[in-house]
Amino acid sequence: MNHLRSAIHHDARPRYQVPRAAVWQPREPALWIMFGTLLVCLPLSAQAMLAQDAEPGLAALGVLLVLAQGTLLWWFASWLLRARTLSRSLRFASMGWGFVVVPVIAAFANTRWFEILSGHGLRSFAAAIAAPLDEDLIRFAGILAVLALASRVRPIPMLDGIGYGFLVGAGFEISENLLFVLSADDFQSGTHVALIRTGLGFGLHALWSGIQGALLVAGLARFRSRPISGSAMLAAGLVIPMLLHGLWDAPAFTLDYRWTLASLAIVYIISIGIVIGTRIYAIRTTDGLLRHADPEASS
Amino acid sequence: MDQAKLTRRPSWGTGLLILGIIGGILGAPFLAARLLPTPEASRIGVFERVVQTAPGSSLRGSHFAPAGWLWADQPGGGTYLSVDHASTAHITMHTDIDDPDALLRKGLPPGAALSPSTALPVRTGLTGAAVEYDLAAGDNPALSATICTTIAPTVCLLVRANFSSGTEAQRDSARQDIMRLIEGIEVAP
Repeated sequence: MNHLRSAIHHDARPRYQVPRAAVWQPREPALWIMFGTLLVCLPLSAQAMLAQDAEPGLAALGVLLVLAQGTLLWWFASWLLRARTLSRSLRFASMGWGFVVVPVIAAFANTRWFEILSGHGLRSFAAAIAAPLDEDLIRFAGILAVLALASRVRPIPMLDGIGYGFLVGAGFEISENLLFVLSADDFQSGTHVALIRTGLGFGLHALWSGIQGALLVAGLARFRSRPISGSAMLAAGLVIPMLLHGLWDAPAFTLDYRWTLASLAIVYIISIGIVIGTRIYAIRTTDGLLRHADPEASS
Repeated sequence: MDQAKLTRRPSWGTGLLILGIIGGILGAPFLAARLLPTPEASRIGVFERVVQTAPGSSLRGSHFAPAGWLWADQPGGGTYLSVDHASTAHITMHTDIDDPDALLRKGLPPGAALSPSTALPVRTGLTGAAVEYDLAAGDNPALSATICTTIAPTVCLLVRANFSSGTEAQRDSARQDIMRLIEGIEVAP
C-alpha cells in the first residue's frame, strides 16, 4: 500500500514513457492475483455464456451488442477521460477484470445473498443490497490491482483513476448485458432486452467504477499527509457508488412508471454529474500542477 | 524524476487487500447463512408486491402482500395465511364490473349480504367499500372489500378475509395488516 500511495501524484505524464506491456510487473503481487483470478474465472465465464444455449440469431445479437456498447463506452472513455493516454495492456487488464472476473464472482455471491435475504423477508431488496455490495467491491479490487500495476510505471493522476475505473465497469457492463441477451427466450425478446439495456441506464456501471477509481486515487494520494481525509475519500469511493447502485436497483413502490422513470433519471443524472465533477477537478488540479512544475509543458 | 525511481518494493499490502476483498465477497454469504437462523420458506417479506391481471383488460392490479404472513399457495399468488394459520386473505381481480356493490356482497352469508357497506381509504382514482361481519359473535370476524376504478370499464380487486386468530389482539393485528394491504392497492395500465 505504501508503494501505491507514494506513486500516486498528480499528473506528470509528459516526463514518463509508458512501456507497451505496462501490465507486466512480475514483482508486483497484484499481477499474479489478477492473472490467477482471470485464469480461474475465464472458463467459468465462458461456461456461463455457453450454458444459455442461445440460438444463432441471439448469439449474433449478443456479438452486435458487445461491439456497439464496447464502441460507445470506448468512445466515451477516450473522449471524456483521455483513456487513449493509458497503457494499452492495463486498459485490457481493466476491461478483462470487468468482463470476466466481476460477473463470475458477483453472480456467485449475489445468488447466495439472494437466497439468504429472501429467506429473511428482504426478497424485494435483495438485488439492491447484494448487487452493490458484491459487484462494486469486486470492481474496487480490480481497480486497486490495476492501479498497483500502473503506479510502477508512472505516477497516477486522478484522471487515470477515473479512466481505469471506467474501463473496469465498462467490461462488466458489456458482459452483464451480453448475458441478459443470451438468456432471452427468443430473438424478439433478446432485441427488446438489448434495446432496454442500451437505452436505460447505459454506462452506469462504468460511471460508478469511474467514481471509485477517482476517489481511490485521491484518497491514496492524501492518505500520507492527511490520513483522516484520505480515509474518508477511500470510504466515499466505496460508499457513493454502492449507494447509487442500490438506489438504481431498489424496488419500485408504485405501478406508476412515471415515478419509477423519474427516480431512475435522478440516479442517472447524479452519477453522470459526479463523474463530470471529478473529471473537471482532476483536469484542473493536473493542469495547475503542470503549470506550477513546468510552465513550458503546459503552454 | 526518472523511470528508475518508480521501481519500488512489491506492494504486498495491496495484494493482501485484493485477496481479502475477493475472499470476503465469496465467504460472507456462507458465514451469514451459518450465523442467521433458518427462516420459514413461505414467509412473506417486506414490500413484496403482487401484480395481478385479468383477461380482457390492459390494467394491472397491485398490492403489497402482508409482511410476516405466509403464502397460502405459491409465492406471488393472492392468497395469504397468518403465521398461526387461523386467519386468511384472498385477493382477486375482476374486469367489466357493472355493479361493484353486487361483487362486494356476492357469496356472503345472507345476514352479512344485507349489512351496510362502509367506505375505505384508498388511493386516488379508486373507490373502496367494505362489509365486515362476524357470524361467531366476536370469534370469527370477516371482511369483504372491493377496490374499484372510478372510470369505466370498472376494474375491481375483491378482498375476502377472515380473522380467526387466537386472541382479540391477534385478530385486530391481522385485520390491520389487511387494511394496510387495501390502502396500498393500485390499478394502473
